Amino acid sequence: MSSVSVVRKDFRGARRSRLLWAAAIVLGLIAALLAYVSGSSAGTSTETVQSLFQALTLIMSILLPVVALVASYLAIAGEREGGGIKFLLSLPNTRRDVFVGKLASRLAIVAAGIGFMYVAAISVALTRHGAFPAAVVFGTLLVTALYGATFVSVAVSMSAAAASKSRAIAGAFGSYFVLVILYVFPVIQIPSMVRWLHTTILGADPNPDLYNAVQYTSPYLAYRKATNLVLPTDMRQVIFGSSLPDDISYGSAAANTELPIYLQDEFSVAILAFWLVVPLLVGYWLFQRADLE
Amino acid sequence: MNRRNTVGTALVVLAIVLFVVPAVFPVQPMLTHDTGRSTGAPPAELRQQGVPIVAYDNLTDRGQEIYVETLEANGEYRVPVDEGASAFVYPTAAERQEAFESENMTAAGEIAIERPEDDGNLPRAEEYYYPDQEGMNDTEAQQRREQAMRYDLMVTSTGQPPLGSTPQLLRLGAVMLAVVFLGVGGYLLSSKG
Repeated sequence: MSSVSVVRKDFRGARRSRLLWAAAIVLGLIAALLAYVSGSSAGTSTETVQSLFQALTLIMSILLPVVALVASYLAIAGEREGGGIKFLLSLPNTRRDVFVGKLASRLAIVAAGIGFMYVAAISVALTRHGAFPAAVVFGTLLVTALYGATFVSVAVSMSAAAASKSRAIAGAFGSYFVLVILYVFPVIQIPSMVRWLHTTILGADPNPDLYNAVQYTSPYLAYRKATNLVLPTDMRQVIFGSSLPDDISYGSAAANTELPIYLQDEFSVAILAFWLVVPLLVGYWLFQRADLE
Repeated sequence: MNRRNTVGTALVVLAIVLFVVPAVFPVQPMLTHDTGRSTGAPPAELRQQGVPIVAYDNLTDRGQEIYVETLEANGEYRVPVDEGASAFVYPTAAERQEAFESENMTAAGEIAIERPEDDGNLPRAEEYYYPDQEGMNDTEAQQRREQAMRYDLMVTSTGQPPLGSTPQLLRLGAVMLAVVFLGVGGYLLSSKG
């Protein structure tokens, strides 16, 4: 066996999971319904479909981390607790084969789920509006797949580092809370906490760029900014309005270029790449050192 | 091939058909006539706003028929794209927006139908006009109300039928079924043996 064998075995197991297929159906139905009810904008059919896929990315920004974490958090921890890891690590498999194989398999599962949603949304968009803006559709698909991959990376790494299922579950819930909820929930938000620390505790003058930079470390906000790269300029979401001069129109290209470079849309790719790679390196390192007995 | 495989394959094929067929035959746009808006503006003011005024008697037979049907349908009536009336302009949402921006109310699909003095043969125009100008006395307010009844504002447009219409619901149903069939079929095929 090698990492390819691990991928095959893991993917086959996932394909047989009734729960995963049920989740895929629910995601597909959500995408179809969203595509159906969207489209009241006054623009052309193409603009309407573009705004539909923008709305889909907004839903995905909250939903996809849950799907990716749930699909991946037991990838290795489940095998460790169930004892299956001993069979997986029997010769000639190495820990690297197991880690890479599990990661590739879970990436494929999450990508398949995203593809399922997109097929449903594209079908309804063509049916209702007869338009297919390929650049926006495939652009958002690519960015969404990258976003899903970052959470698979986080979950598989935690799973590799956790000695039991309960720790892997706690890690998955915790990462969703820290990486998504704290940027969405209106009362307790990362920028408010940083502002309080900066101005009240340290007594410094308010610095919106600093607060925005801190919250930009979240893959959730990086994904929302990354979708701006594939959407038309007038559809771009302005996330860091507090860092913009008052005379800048939100629908203009200047709403991005006037920001410091570390707050611009293009920087989101670096943040997503960070969340894709660094957790994997840490998780792999911990997995290599772990006592699996 | 066992029964599980057969059913799974059939469901996946059916799902593909249900995904593709509605996409190949999209919902056709329709021409909408809406008399829901009211105005108490006198004809001169309407013309000044760029709203064309057409006497009911000057409409073609088709135009008259559509106007009456619209009133009988509680103010909103849709016809297929090739069954509109020549007197009416049917802008899309984008064209309408553009027309509003350039203050071209004719291109925006607004038209005032001047009802005959004796309009007993026509369905009643359900106009609810409440004068909002300060300092208007009762006579002027009554005059405005009468004008609102006489000059019936109609908005015409080209667009999708509402989400609750049969063509829309049929296509949504097809895609929803396709999603379920693909999921169940995929599961049956993946979990064999």
